Amino acid sequence: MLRVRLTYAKRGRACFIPHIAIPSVFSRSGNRAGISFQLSEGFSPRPRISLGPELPVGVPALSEPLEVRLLSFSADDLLRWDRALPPGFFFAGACVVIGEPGSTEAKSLNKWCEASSCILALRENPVGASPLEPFLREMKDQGEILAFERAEYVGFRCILENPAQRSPGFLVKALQKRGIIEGWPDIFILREAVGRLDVSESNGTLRVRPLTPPFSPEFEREIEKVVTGESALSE
Amino acid sequence: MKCRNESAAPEQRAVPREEAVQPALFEYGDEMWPLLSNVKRSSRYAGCEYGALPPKDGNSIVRFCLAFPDVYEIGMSYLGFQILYFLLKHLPCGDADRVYCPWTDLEEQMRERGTPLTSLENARPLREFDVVGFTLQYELSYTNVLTMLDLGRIPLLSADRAEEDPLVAAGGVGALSPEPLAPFVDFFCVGDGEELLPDVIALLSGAKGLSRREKLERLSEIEGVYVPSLVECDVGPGGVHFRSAEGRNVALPVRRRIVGSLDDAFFPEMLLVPSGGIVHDRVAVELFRGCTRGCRFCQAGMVTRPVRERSVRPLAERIVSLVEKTGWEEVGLLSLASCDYSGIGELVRELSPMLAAKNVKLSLPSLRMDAFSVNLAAEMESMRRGGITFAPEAGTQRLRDVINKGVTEEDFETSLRTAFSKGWDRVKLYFMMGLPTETDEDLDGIVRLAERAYTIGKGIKKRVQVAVSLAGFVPKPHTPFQWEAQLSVDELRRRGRYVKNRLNEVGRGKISLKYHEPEQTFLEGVFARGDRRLASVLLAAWRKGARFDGWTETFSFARWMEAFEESGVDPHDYVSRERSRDEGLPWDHISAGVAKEFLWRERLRSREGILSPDCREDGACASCGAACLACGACFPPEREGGASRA
Repeated sequence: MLRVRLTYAKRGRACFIPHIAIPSVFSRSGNRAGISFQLSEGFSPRPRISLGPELPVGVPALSEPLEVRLLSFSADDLLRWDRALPPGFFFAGACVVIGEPGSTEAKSLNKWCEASSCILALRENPVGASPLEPFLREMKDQGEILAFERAEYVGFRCILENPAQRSPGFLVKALQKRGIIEGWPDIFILREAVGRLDVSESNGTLRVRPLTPPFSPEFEREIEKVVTGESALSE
Repeated sequence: MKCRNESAAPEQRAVPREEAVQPALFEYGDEMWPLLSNVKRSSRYAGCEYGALPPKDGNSIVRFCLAFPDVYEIGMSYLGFQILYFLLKHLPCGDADRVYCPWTDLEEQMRERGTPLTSLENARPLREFDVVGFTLQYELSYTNVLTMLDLGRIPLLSADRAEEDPLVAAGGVGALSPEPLAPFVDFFCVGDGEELLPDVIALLSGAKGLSRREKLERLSEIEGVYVPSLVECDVGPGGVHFRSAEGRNVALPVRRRIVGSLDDAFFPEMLLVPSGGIVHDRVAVELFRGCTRGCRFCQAGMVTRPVRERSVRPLAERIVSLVEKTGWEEVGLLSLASCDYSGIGELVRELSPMLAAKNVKLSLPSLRMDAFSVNLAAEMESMRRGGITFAPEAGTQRLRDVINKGVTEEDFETSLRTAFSKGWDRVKLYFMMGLPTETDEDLDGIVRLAERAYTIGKGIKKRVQVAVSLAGFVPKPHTPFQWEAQLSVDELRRRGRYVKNRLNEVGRGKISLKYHEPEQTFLEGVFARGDRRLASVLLAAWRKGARFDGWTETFSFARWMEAFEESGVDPHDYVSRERSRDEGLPWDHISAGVAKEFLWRERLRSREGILSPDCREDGACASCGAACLACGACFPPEREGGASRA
């Protein structure tokens, strides 16, 4: 049995597919790709899929984590599985998790989710300075968020601790409380990553590191080595 | 965590796909986003389906938008659109998109912002299609047809449409009694889409550049196409009578097109797989079409004749292939009465091990009341998960004979006993109230059967749940009961309460009861047997805000009664009145394949409680006039490719 951690992007209208439907999105696409799931015990065996912290409906994401238990796995499997996903869903990265039960390495997915990084932008930008900046500063001063900065394309990036407790909905509530927005339709949020906190060595900037190495040209070869036992895994 | 993420030589395959790494502006720029983030169940509008095919290009392509007048999770459960979507894509000159009715919250926002209704997969505005084709599955969804046309910026009335507007088509069972929608629909497709649509698409592809009028005239020459603007109807004391409009030569009645052999008919090699959860979330396949059981209340059983079965072997192969291609975890074997499929035993035997190996469940939508069916269901793990449902339909043998429902007390006992012995502890019983000749004694019969079910269950199981569902009977066109009067709202309510009180006397909490809202049953009855005069009522009610009338949370009877009043149309005339034999009926210009004479004979037999046999079982022929029953030659016992019942 292999414990495989995957990260996925949920783009475009796929952001309206609720969290509760995500396991079947991955199990059905896995069935189409011929992925050999390990099934749960019991009367209605199902693929064993664990999700990371809930992502609210309407929030697109770039790197959400999930874990699956598989009987076998290869880079080809992953590529086939990626192509069998419904529109809007994409794998962003993968790794095989090892570690003896009870060890730090083997701890559950949610325990690895230390922080999240979100892009925030008002749907309609008011004339003059964005009210988001003072809002985020206040949140940072109060210790509600860890950091924020202007994002590359639109709005602000903000880093939050403990994504299980502080989901994008937490930011929406805070914005509503301050009268900056009336509700979800007034604010755009994209979750860039859920994972571990990382501090840049050069300038001390906080970043959230996704829980898998990204899909990359070297990825295929590496994962093949891991599953065939040719190569040990290292940080 | 131990993951290796650095390495050596680059390879070309494992890179993120382009769409995955677009900047946030991609979603930020979606104009529908603020609307969708402000409505209930936004997954309805997400699309995000696996299996959709890319749009086609070319001047000869006929762009057809399949429109379902209800919400996505209902419409996406409808097998018909899965077939028609892939059929249209398969036709060299056809292309298909789909659209579902936005719920009232989204409609409101679309109106506020002036956002037009677009197709689900390609966001093409409705008015840019060549044809927008609705399926009419339920009378109480008719106001949604108007909502969709209006949000699609297509004039509601055919007469108001300009040359550049799409042709508005409608099919499905509602096309067999189409008059209430006649002024809104340019042409109706009567019968099996696999047979009709290729002709329609070929004609429209060749007719590009012709005027609307010319296109409709040519369409009316296709068998099974009804163009209401070319047919006049006169309503008088003798009922409704149809004739070709002046200067036209439309052949009446319009005959239902029928697929001769399902094995030879188009059968999709793929299905669209939703991501957001729908009502029937599974591979759906049709074992056979049609039914000759002859239940006299059942419209589907009368208007889908003759019975046409798929051959077991190719069907089993297709099911396995669909499971592999779609990834679905369940297969539903659909038909009007799936246990009547002559190859059911062989099919289940063949499929079970293959599907079990893939952890895929089999299910049947409906069960006949006999030990064979219950035993068959007991072999299907997915069926054992939930409760088991039976439909005795009426409470006494007398009334079951009136409706030709071939279920005896013995069948009832055997089925219930088998079900509880096989492990089920939840049983649902479907009955109707208001069937012709029904008395309180028949209602007492319902109570008695429910109580009997409970007693049988308690003799076998510790915990037993019996739930009774009571639907108000609506006489439907093209059935032996099409001439009957329907019960009034007050009388239906009285009977519903009567059964409820009687069940409470049996023991509170033992047996639960749900009965349909009598006011909705009334409205369904009006539109089921309605004529063209109802179009003005439909329009008035829609303008007053009638939407999703089949949903109790949006239905308003008062609004409808106001609309009837304003339009000067008496709804009771459609439901409460028994028709005479020679009265012209508003669907006389449509032939469903079953002769009116046969229906009348069946009606007379019903009054005497005489059963009419199923011609599949004993070779008897009730001579209904549909091709198969006229001679019985369609179903020789040793049918090639078929199989005998296990």
